[in-house]
Amino acid sequence: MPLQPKDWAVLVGIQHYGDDLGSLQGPLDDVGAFRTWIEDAATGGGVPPAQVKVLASDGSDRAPPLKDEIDRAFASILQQTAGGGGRRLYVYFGGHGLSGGADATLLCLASWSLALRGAALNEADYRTKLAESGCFAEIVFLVDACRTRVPGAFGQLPMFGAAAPKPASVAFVAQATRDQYPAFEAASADDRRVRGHFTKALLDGLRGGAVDANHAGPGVTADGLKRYIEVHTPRVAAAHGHAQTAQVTNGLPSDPPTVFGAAPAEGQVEIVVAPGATPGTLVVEGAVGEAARVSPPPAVWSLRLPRGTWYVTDGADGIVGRFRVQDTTEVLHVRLGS
Amino acid sequence: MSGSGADARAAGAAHATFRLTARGADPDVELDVVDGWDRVVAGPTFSDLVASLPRGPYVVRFRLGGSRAERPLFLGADTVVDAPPMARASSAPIDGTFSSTADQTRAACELSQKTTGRDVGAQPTGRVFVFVRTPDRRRASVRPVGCGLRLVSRSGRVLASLDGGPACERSDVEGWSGVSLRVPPGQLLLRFAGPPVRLVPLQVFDGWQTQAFVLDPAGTSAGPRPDTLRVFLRRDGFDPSGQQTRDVDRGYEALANVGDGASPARVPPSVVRWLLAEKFDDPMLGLLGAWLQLAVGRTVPPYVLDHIEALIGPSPDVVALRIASARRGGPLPRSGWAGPSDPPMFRAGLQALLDASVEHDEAITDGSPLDRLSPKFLADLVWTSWTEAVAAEAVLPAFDDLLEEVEEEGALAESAGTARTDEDGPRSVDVTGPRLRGRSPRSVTWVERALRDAGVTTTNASRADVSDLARRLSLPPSAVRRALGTIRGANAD
Repeated sequence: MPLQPKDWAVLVGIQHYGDDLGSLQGPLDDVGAFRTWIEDAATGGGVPPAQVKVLASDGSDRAPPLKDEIDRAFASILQQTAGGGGRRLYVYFGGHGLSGGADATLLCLASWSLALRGAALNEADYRTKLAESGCFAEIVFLVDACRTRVPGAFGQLPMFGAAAPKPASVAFVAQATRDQYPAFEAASADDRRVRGHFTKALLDGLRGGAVDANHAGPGVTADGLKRYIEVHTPRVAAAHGHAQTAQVTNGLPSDPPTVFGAAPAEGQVEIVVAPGATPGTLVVEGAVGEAARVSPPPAVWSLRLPRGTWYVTDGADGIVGRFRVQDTTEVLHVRLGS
Repeated sequence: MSGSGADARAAGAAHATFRLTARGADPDVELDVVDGWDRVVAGPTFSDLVASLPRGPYVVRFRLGGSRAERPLFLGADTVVDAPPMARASSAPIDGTFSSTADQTRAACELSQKTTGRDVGAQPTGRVFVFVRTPDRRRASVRPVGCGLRLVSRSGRVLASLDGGPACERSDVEGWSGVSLRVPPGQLLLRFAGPPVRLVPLQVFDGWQTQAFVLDPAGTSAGPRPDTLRVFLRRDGFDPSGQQTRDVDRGYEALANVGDGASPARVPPSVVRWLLAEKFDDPMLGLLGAWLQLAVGRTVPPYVLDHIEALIGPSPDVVALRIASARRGGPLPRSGWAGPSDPPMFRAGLQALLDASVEHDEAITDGSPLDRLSPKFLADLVWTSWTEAVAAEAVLPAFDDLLEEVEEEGALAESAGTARTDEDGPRSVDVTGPRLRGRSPRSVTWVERALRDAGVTTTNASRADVSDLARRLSLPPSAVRRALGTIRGANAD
């Protein structure tokens, strides 16, 4: 995907909290991983790096990022995109969160404590102000935080806002969990770094995991990403012994589909066939139907396949193998009969 | 039709549907089917599922308690899929749970049938059993099992520390720690070290053993997890293989996952079956089933309420259940509208009392411990829980300044003398906050902050809508009135 000069992003990662909430381990890495995707002009979001504002905690007594700093980042972007100069605004938050009602999360600032129950941003209010700013056609809110409830906790209003509300832009809102439920983080099996389950599923989906029957081109659709996050966040959580159900509301257009990033539509697959281990015919079949057939199979069968789950059969419904074309930036090696 | 015969066959195959039958093997297994586009195309439902689907790749998803399993398949003919063997996740070492070991199950059974410390009080006709275990002994432990978890009396005395001490038995090799004591009926507290420091009430009943189980992940610096707490009521020790034990465990899982307004179809059938059969002799099963019924919009038959009360008496949980049931159109509590003075164990009961107090002051008595603790309640567990006071909060008196002692003082002192104490630490912990005598610099409470955020000032506080503010803040009106009084008096200071 070429650069998207009209796209902007605000990424907030708060890892350091006081004793009442306890510090987390994953938000800063999560923000870093999301930043890598969103600045990737080849297959990611293609947002110019100068238009990606990152605000992260550092554990200091000053407890950054302060609400003032976050609001200034938004205000600065709104100033530069005034009059509809922006196409899409991404907002990512990783940190502690609390329930702000059925459709909102209170995003806890580093200074949140039981004595300062209002040291949080009301995500719904921020979303509304941004949508009514008239600066962006699309707003994308991604929140990896708990939504447990602490009586009396409340969120702050944004300090920015339009003099007169404009027609609201459409929004894609993905919350890591349901209202009044926790979200979790755990060490990744890949690199042992702690990651939020929601962010892992989100990035896997953006990199090509999300599929859509109505979209064959590069990138992943908003519809496909919603389904991927909803299906795979519980799967990632379950692998670590956690129960977590993401909640996604997609208000972006489906016709034509709204697309995120530019993950290649197809991936290169090399199916290695062990000598004498397979039948005379191999068929590759998936949700779109039969994609390829070979008889007799070569030792290495190279083919390009659309993203998604594929089964290798013997042509008579005998299952020989199964694989998923997901991260389409690398060649997928599949071994059969070994 | 056009094209070659092969094309026609392919087209026909593409439009053909096949019968997919998925079997859960357990009536409480919840299952659904996801297609190759990550769309849920059948379910969710319990036990068994039959769907007619086109050829293609699918995943059948099974859920049982905290466990999940998936069976990917390619549907090219009528197919039957059985759930793989599924073990539940539970802090109680029940037979068939995937993270418990035979050693832990045996230890829980043996400990629950004896006492590990001296009796508490003059009439210890109730019993309490607390058992902490690690789910994975293979992971190196960085601290003792049960670290920071204490059993505390309402006066703040440490009856036992689960990370060691005379009243505690433990095995680091087998990964468990336990306490079993005879105590008077009434309320004790489990204190989790946090963060945040959290207190959970444990109700002890005459003739019953209150059994509390907690998981403590090994290899992490975090302590025992309060969200894993399971409480059982038994007369004769822990029963790891009993059907009612398993059903109570399922009930907790369901209550944790069924929000208000959920479909009744999401309640495991076994829990409802016990309740409607009126044959349960496990009061916890009755309490759980009743709260589940209310959560999904059903009413609780009066005989169920009477049966629970006959088993354990008019405890705070029973009174809260009667009030909640009455607000759903059930019969009024026989003892009138007077709510309990102590917090109930179930958070659903606490919420019912808070909701009722907006309309009926009697639901939460002004000045009762329940009232005074209301600004400190947390709301993220199945259980009622609250935090200890933090420095910036208003100071509340301890429980024993408000209530008569549950324990006989002499016996308590003796018990405290046998409990483990940290060498540098106190023998007791303050369960509600520091106790300051006399006048001290006053801190502004979060309730006052929230009221001011809602527009309350010293000049308009007398005209504030107490019921509306109480409803919005999930507080009893008495707590709101106190804060309004403080705000009104701010000028006088």
